[in-house]
Amino acid sequence: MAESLSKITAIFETAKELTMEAAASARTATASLGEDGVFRQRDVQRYLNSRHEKEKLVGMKAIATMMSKGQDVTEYFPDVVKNSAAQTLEVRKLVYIYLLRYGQQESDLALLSINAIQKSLGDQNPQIRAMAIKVLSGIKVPSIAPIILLGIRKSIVDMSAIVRRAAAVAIGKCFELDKSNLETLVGYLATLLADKSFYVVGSAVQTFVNICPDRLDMLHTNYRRYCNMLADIEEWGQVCVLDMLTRYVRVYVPKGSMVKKQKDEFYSDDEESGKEAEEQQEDFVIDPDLEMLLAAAKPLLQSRNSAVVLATVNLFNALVPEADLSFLGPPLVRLLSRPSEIQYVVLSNIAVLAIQNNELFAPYLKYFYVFPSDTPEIAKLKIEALTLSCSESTVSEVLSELQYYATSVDKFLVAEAVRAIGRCAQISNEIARRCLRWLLKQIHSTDHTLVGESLTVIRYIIQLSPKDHIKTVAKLAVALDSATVSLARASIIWLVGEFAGIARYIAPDVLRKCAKNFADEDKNTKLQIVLLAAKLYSYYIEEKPVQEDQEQEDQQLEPTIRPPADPMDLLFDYIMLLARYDTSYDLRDRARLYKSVLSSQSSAPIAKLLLQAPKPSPHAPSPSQGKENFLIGSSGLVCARISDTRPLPPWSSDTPDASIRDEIKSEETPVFASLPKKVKPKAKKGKKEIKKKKVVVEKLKQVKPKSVKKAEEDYHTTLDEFFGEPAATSAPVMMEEEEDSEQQEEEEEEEDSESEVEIIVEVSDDSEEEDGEDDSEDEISEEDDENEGGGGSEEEGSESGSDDQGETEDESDDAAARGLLSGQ
Amino acid sequence: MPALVPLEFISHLIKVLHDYFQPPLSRQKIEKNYSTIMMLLNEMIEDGYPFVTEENALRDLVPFAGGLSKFLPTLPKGAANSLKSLTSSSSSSKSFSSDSSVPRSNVPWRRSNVKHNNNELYVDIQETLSVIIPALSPTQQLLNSINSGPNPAPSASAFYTPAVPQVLAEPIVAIAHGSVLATTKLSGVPDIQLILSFGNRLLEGPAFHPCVRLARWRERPGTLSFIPPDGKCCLLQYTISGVESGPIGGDLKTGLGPMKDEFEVRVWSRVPRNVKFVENLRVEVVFDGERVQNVKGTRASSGEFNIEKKGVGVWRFPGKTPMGWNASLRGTMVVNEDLEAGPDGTVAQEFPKYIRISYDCQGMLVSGAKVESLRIVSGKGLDDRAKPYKGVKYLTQGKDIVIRG
Repeated sequence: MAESLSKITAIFETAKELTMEAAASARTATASLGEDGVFRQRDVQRYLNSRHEKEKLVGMKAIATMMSKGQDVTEYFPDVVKNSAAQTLEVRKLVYIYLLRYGQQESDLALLSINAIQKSLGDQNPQIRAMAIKVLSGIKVPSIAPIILLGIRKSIVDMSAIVRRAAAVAIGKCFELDKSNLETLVGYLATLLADKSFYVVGSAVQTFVNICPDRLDMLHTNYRRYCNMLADIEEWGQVCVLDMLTRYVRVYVPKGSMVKKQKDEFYSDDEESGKEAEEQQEDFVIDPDLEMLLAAAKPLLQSRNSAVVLATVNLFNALVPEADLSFLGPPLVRLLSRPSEIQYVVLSNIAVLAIQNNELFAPYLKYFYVFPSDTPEIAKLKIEALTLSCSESTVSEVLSELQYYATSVDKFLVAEAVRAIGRCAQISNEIARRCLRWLLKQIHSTDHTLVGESLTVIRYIIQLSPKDHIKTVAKLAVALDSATVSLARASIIWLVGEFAGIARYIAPDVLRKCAKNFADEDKNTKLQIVLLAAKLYSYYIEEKPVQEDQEQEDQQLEPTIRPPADPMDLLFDYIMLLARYDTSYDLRDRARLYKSVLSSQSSAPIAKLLLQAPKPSPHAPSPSQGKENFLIGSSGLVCARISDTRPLPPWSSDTPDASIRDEIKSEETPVFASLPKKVKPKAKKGKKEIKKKKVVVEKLKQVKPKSVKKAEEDYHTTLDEFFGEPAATSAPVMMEEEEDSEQQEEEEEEEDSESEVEIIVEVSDDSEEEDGEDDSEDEISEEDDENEGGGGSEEEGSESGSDDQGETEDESDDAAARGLLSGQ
Repeated sequence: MPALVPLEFISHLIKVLHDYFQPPLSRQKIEKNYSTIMMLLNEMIEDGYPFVTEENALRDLVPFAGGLSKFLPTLPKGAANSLKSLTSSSSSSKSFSSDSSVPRSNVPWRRSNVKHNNNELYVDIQETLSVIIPALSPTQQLLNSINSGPNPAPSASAFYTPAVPQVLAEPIVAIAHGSVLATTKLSGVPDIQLILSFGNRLLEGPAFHPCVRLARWRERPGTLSFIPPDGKCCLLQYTISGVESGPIGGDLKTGLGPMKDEFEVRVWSRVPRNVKFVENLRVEVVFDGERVQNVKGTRASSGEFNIEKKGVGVWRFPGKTPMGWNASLRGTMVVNEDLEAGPDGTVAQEFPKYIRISYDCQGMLVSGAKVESLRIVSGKGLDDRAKPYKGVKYLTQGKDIVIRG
C-alpha cells in the first residue's frame, strides 16, 4: 500500500535516469560544479567540507543531482554526515534527504549523525524540529528505536502543530521499524488522535489506519469532534478519516432502520434531532451520531479532490444504502471531466454503484455517451454504465446509441456495444424482440466482429426462452445461405442443432445444405456440422426405436448391405464418412465418438445425455459484476490484483450507548496545550527515559487483559475511562507520566527503581478492580437515561466512594498511591 | 490505498512543478532543478502517503528554484527579521522567522508574507464543450434538400452569406465542463468576493477549492467568497449539460453528385454575441481507414484539407476565423480494391463516418455564465491606496464537437 507512492517516486527517478546521458550535455543547477555534468569526487568533497555554507549547498546540490540520476553516492557518506548540523536550512534538508535514502545501508555512519539530529529536536524553529523527528524515524536503523520513541514522546506534546503532525507520521514509521513497541506507540497516537488541531488529526488517523486499524474503540470520544472538523482537515487526511469513520459507525453506531417508531434508547441525549430526522426521512430512522457524520460528510462531495469524493460516496453507500442517494450522481458525473485515468477509476466505481442501484445514474445517461476521443477502456465502462442505468423508459434511446457504436469503425467498440445490446435485451421480452430483430439484420454485415458478436447475443436471447423463438431459428437458417464469416456459420449451425428438438423441420434441411459444402468449410464449422448430424440422428433413433433395433442387428450382421431406409441415415453416414477422412484429428475423433455412441440402441440414453442435454440458460453478466464486494474507491475494485483493501466490518447488532462518544469537556482539553511547557523541560532533564517507557508499557498492559476478558460494552466504557471520559482521559495519564518522571528523578537519587514500578502496577491493579465495579453500576444508572458521562461518574463516585484514578485527588486509594509515589 | 490517491497526487505534483518551474515542463528544466524537485517530493510524500501538496504551503517549505535562498541568513535569530523585508517575496524567508505563528493556522493554502508591487487579480472562466449531433433523419434530409436546392456548389462567394441549413439535428449530448480560475497577485491577506451568474442553468455537482466558503455559496448560489492562495488556483469546477452547441456549427452530407459518391462537409460560424472570431478551427473528417484508400477530388472553399493519418483527414483554418462565415468541402472516397464484395457483388461506396470540430473562442461562454461582480472585500496587509487591477476573461474551447454522418 505504502509502496505504490514510493513506486511513483521510483518511476519519477527512473525517468530521470533515462535522461542521464542527455544530462551530460545539459547545464546543471550547480553553476560552479559539474558544469559538464560530470562530478569529480574530489571537487564534490571539497565543496562538502567547505567552511562556507554557500559552498556546502553547492556540494549538496551536486549530491542531490547525482542521487536523482540514480548514481550511487554512498562514497560521500562521511562528508555529507558532517553537515548534518549545517546552519542553512536548505543544506540541512538535503543532508536529511541523503540520510533518509542511504541511512539503512550505512547504518554505522548514519549513527554519527543521530546526535546532531537529536539536538535539532530541541531547536526553536518548529520546522527544524519537525524535520528532525521525520529524519530520525526515517533512518531505518533498528537500534535507534528507543531514541525515536523518545523523540516522538517529546514531539507529540510540541506546541507547534507542524511538529505534532510530523510525530504522527513518525509513529507509523517507528512501528514499521520495530513492531514490538506497538503499545507505547498506540498510547502516543491516542494523544495525537485527540489533538485539537485538524492539521494533526489527518496524519494521526492515517497512522492509526496503518498501525492499529482495529482499535476503533480509541475513537469514541473523538468521533463527534472529527465530524465537526471534517471540512477543515486537509484533503488527504479527509480520505483516511472518512474511511475510518465509516468503519467506526459500522461497529459502534446503530444501523439506520426503516422502522416507523424510532427506538428511544438510541436517543438518550439527542432525542430532538432524532425526531427531526424521522420527519425528513419519513420512516427511515438513523442515529443522531450517524446523522451528524452524514451531514458533515455531504459537503465533501464538492471537494476538488476526486479521492475525497469517492471516499464520501463510499461512506454514504456503506452506511445508508437504503436512503435516497440520488445526490451522489452529480459529483461522480462531474469527475468525468478529469484526465482519463481518473475517469477510468470513477467509471469503474459508477458501474459497481449502478449494479447495486440502477436508478442512481438514470438521469445522467448523456454523460456516458461515448466520444471518439475516449480510450477503449473508458468506452467500455461507459457502455456498461449506459446499459446498467437504462430502464424501460430510456432503453430505446440507449439502444439506438448502442446500435450506432455497433456499426462504427472501431472493432473494440463494436464488440462491446453488441454485447451491451444483449444485456439490454434482458430488461423485458418486448425489448428482447426488438434487439433480436436488429441483430438478425446484422448477420449479413461484412464486419466480422459485428456478425460474430451478434450471433453470440442472438444465441443468448433465444436460449432465454427457446419456445418463443422458433421463427428466429428459421430466419437464422435462411441467413446461413448468405453468411460468409465462418464464426457466424458455426454459430448458426450450433444454434439450429440446439433447437432441433423444437424446430423439427429446419435442422435436417440445414444439415443437407451443409453436407454439400462440407469440404469447403472451416474447421470450426465442420465440427459444428458433425455435431448437428449427431444431434439430429440421436433424435431420429429416439423416435424410431423399433427400426433402430433392426438396424442394429443389420449392422452387426452385414452393415454394408443394409438397405438405406431413411434419408436421415444416409445423411448421417455421409457426414461421418466425410469427417472420417478429414485432416483434423479432433474432427476424426469426434466423428468416431458420435458414431459409436449412436450405433447401438443400448447406448442411446448416453447419446441423449450427451447430445440433447439442456444447456443452462446463458448468463451475460455485466463486466463489473462480481466487483460489488470491493469498497467504492478502493484499488481492488479497479485492479483486482491489488487486494489490500480490508473489508468493511459488518454492522454490529449490539452497539454500546451513545454516551461513550461524549466529548471530553472543554476545560479539560487544554491539557495538551499546557502540557508541553511542563513536560519539555523535564524531558530534557530526565535521562532515564527507558524506565519511563517501562512504566508506560506497564500501564498499557494493565488495560489489555481487561479488554480481553470483559464483554464488549464494558470494555469500551473502561477504555473510555482510561482514555477519555472523566476529567481524565489523557490528562491523568499524562500527569502520571509526569509524576513518574519526577519520581524517577528522585529514584535516581535513591536508585531503587524496581520497587517503584511495582507500586505503580499495584495501584493500577486496584483501579482496575474498581473500574469493574463502576461498570456494573454504569449499567444500572443507564436505565434512567439522563445520566451523561460526567454526571454518571460523579454519582458513582459518591455512591461507591471509589472513582477512577484521575478524576479527583481525594480518592482514598488514589491519594494513597500518590503518597506512595511522590511522598518518598 | 484508495485508487484515486496516487492519481490525484500525480496531478497535484504536476501542478506544483508548474508552479515552481512554469509550464511547459521540459527535460532541461527538470534536470536543472533536481535538488529542488527532490526537496519537493520529500515534503509531498511522507510514509508513502501524500503529505503537504498545497502549492503555497510548499513555497514556504522549499525554496523557490534559483531564488534568493542561497544567500539567505543562517539560523541565528534576528538576522532573519532584518532580511525579511528584502526577501519578502521569496518564499524561504518564512522558514527562518516566526516560531510562534504556525503557518497554515488560519489560511493553510496561502503562503505567508505575500508582497507584490503590482497588485493584480484576474478571473478566467473556461468551458470545454463536448457535443454529439446525430445524423439527420431521412425526413429532415429531404426538407433540407428542398429548401437549399440540390448540391449548392461551394464557391468563394459563399463567404459571409449565412448558408446555414434550415433543419438541423438537435444535439443528443451537449455538455460544458467549466472551471473558474483565479490568478491573484495581491499583497497581504485579501478577502475576495466573486459573484457569478449561470442564468437558470443547473450546475451538476460543483467542486470548490478549499478556500471557498461553502456556506456563502449555499446561501446564495453563485457567490464565491474566499481568501485566495497566492498565484493561480482553480476556485470552482462545474458541469452543465444541455448547453447550446456553440459558436461553430457543421454538417455532413453523403451520396451527392452525379455518381452519388460525393460527400460534403460544411462548417459555419454563427452570428456572434460580442465575439469577433474563433481561433484554431479544425475539422477532422473521420472515415474507415481499412476500407478507404484515399480521398479524391477534394474541393475546399477555404482552409486546407490533408489526410494526416489512417482514417482521418484534417481540414484546418489557420489563424482567426470571423463570425457569420461558412466553408464547405467536397470529395469522394476511393474504396480499397482488395475488399471483398458484399452480398450483391459490389463494394459499397464509403463515406465519412463523422466529423469532429475543435476550436478556441475567446470572449464568450456557451453556458452563458458570466461574472456579475468581482471585488476585494478586505485586504489585511494590502495597501489602501493600492488600486488592484482586476480582469475577467472568458474562453470556450470546443473540444469534441462530433457530427455524425
